[in-house]
Amino acid sequence: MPAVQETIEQVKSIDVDKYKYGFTTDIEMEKAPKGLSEDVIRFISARKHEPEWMLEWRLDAYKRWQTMNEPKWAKLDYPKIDFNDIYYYAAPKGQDGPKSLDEVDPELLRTYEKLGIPLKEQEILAGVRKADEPSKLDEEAGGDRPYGKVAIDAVFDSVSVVTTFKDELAKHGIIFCSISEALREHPELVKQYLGSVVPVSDNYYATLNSAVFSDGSFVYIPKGVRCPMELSTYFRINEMDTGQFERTLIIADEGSYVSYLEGCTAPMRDVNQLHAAVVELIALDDAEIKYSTVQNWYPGDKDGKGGIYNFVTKRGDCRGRNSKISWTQVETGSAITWKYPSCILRGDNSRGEFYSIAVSNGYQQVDSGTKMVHLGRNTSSRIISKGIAAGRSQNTYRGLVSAHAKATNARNFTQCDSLLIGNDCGAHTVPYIEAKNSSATFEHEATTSKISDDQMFYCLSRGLGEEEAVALIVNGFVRDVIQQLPMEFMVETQKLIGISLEGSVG
Amino acid sequence: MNVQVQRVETPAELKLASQFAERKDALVGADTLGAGRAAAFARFEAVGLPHRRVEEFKYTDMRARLREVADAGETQVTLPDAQGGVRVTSLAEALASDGAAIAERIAERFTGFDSPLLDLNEAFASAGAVIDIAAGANVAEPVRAGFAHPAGKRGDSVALYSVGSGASVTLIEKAGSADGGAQGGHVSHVDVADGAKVTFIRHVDAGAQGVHSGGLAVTVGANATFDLLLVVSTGELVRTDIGLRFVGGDAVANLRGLHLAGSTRHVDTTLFVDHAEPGCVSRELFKSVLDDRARSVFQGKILVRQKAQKTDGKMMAQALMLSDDAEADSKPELEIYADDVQCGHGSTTGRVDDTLLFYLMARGIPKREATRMLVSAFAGEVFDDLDEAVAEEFSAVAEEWLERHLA
Repeated sequence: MPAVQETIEQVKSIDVDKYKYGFTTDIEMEKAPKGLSEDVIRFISARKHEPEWMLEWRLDAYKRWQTMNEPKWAKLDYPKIDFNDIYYYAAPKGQDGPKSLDEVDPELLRTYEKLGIPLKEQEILAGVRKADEPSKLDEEAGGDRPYGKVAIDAVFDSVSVVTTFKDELAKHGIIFCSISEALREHPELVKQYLGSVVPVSDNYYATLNSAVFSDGSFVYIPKGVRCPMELSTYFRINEMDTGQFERTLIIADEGSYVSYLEGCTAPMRDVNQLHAAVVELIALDDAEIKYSTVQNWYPGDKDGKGGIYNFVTKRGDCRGRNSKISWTQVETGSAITWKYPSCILRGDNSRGEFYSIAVSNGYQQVDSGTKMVHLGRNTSSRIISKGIAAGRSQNTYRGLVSAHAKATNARNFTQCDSLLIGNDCGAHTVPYIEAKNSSATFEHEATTSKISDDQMFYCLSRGLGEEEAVALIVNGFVRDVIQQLPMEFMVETQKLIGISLEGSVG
Repeated sequence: MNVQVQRVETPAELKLASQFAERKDALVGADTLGAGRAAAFARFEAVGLPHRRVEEFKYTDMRARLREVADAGETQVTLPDAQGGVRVTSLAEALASDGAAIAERIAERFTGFDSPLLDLNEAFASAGAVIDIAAGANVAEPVRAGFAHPAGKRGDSVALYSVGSGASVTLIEKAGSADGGAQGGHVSHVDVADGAKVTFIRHVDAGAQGVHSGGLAVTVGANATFDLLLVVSTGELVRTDIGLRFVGGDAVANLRGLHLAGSTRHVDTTLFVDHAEPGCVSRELFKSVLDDRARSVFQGKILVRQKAQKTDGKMMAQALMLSDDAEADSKPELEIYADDVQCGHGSTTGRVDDTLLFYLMARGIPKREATRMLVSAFAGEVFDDLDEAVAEEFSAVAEEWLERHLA
């Protein structure tokens, strides 16, 4: 079992409470004034050269946001956030969506190196630097290794700094760029779909995001195209006191397929930082979107100081017939996680899936789950959620499954399992099951347990150390979900789980 | 920065407030219960009728559903027959002889969550019964009490049960009134002492137009066994708040419920089980059979506190829908702070299985009869562990309901 061996090595090589992405990059930044006002929103919009309608959209969102109250229903406990003590826009100076890596600060490139953005990606980054032959490298990569190619959009604080493989993707008619670029280049697509899944005033954080979002990724897969490589966005919060508000919009036109990966890290800071993203997915007839996240924001130190507050609204709309949206998430970071990737199953025969592993340790608090809203006929959904709580953390699964009156033959299967490691943590399950149609078949089951003494004894008697044994058992426990991840993430996830549980035994 | 929304009182809330102001000094035991009633009403007034933004009332919007409050009336209490080991007094008598202790017991209600409806009951309850089972008593016949709310009027009642250590008893109560659309509520407090064995049955029969908001607050001592059966057979709107707390270790609670609802009825049972002590076992099984446009809600929460190691909790909510327009909502929650526990919950929703129906029909059983057999088997599971006579009595209620709805 090589993967398990890797987990063990990873555990050995890193000390307790060591967050390996916790460095900062010293880079000159341009920031909007601290706090939130119409002026700041105008500043962001102007900085991005946005069309007038977009500015109106943002200002409208800001007006609505002022009338809203922070949601309090989640099982999370944190001090009140001062929304006026945050920088809403911070960009590496001189960057405005660079066209080539010549324009990218070498310091940034070193950052990506440290983050271990896939090794082949570094080759590509180097390749792109040779301005005269970028496409050749793309072809090479395409020809020799059709599998495992990843196109990356990297977002640093508020701005997308680099997007790779654009040319090759363009050959297939695929648009993959930062959302600010999309607003300039493809305004009609953005205007048609932006806010159509997560309306402006959907919830407090989504509304805030609508007003101040600074960047994110935009993907459009044309009719009948199967995206030839994984698309990936890498988010990094770097500056002190900045919030990150990115917005991702993915449209899969009829009969298309795309797999999208998202990763996130942040430096170690004593203060809490805010991250409030909105992700919208739209799948038209027969289209399929697979969205995978490895969320590894800084979780705070061992005393619960610092860490990212992660308030994210993710929603997919299976708008067309036979469409499919699949969410896979691995949540190991953030001091606070408030995140419910959802599927609206509007098209007949559409399918939604949600696979989640949420690991919490230290003083982390996770309130995460999904919503499966069945609207069309013969829709089906599947939820597999594995929560692992250790240390003094609280880990909550909160999920909704609903079938509306016209959702004939809606089917759902939900399984949420929780594992408790230690006696100071909590694991909670809050499912909402609403059936307005008699032909709906909903099944829900949940279990909570600890690692059984028998299992531990079995492992220990074969010479494994306690922590190795826990990592082994936990990896087995979450296997159902890990199997859903693309290959690149699978190994990384197993490593992450090893790290997050460290120090939880004994 | 944010706009604060001022709560506007509904006509129903205003009427309740004026009723309370008018009646509070005339209610039974005003001298002893007065302070508790005022406090309860103040708690109610602070939040008003619960609406869907209140988590525990997410599926039962009382503000929207209770538009008009009926005038106050008298609740008819039927006290149990005398029997060895059973001491029965009416609320009025008990207040006259031992007012302070009764007031204390009423104030100690445990449900685990704030329920403005139970506060309302506490503020108005003026009829009721106090039933004590002596320690070690083995009560042969079921102890039956009735709390009939006045037709077309509003009434509230309360019952205090205490079961002494090692005693064994079956308590049966019927709440609501079958005719005339009464409004009101009935709340029972059940204290089960160490080693006692109690079967508690509540049948809510609130009539076609009735609005019933009931409550059940139970504490279970060490090594005791508490079996509950809640049957809701009629009532336009029936809401039952159940709170159960283990106050001693190694106790067992078997909580079962059956909602039978047709027409546009709305039945909601919200349950909170507090595993405060180690080694306790709780089993929850709540079933709904729904016809026409009826709606059933089950919300259940199992809390396992940090010290409650070796807890074993299993919760199941199942709904069977006989018509396309029925609605079933369930929310089975787990909140766990101890690591050596086994907890699980399940929830299923669906209609009568076509394969099973086909199987029976292929053997010459007409469709209607086959459906009746399947539904009756589904519902019957909640009667499984009861004494034969009692099981028959309540399965007859279910059978009678089925006969009407499958006709």
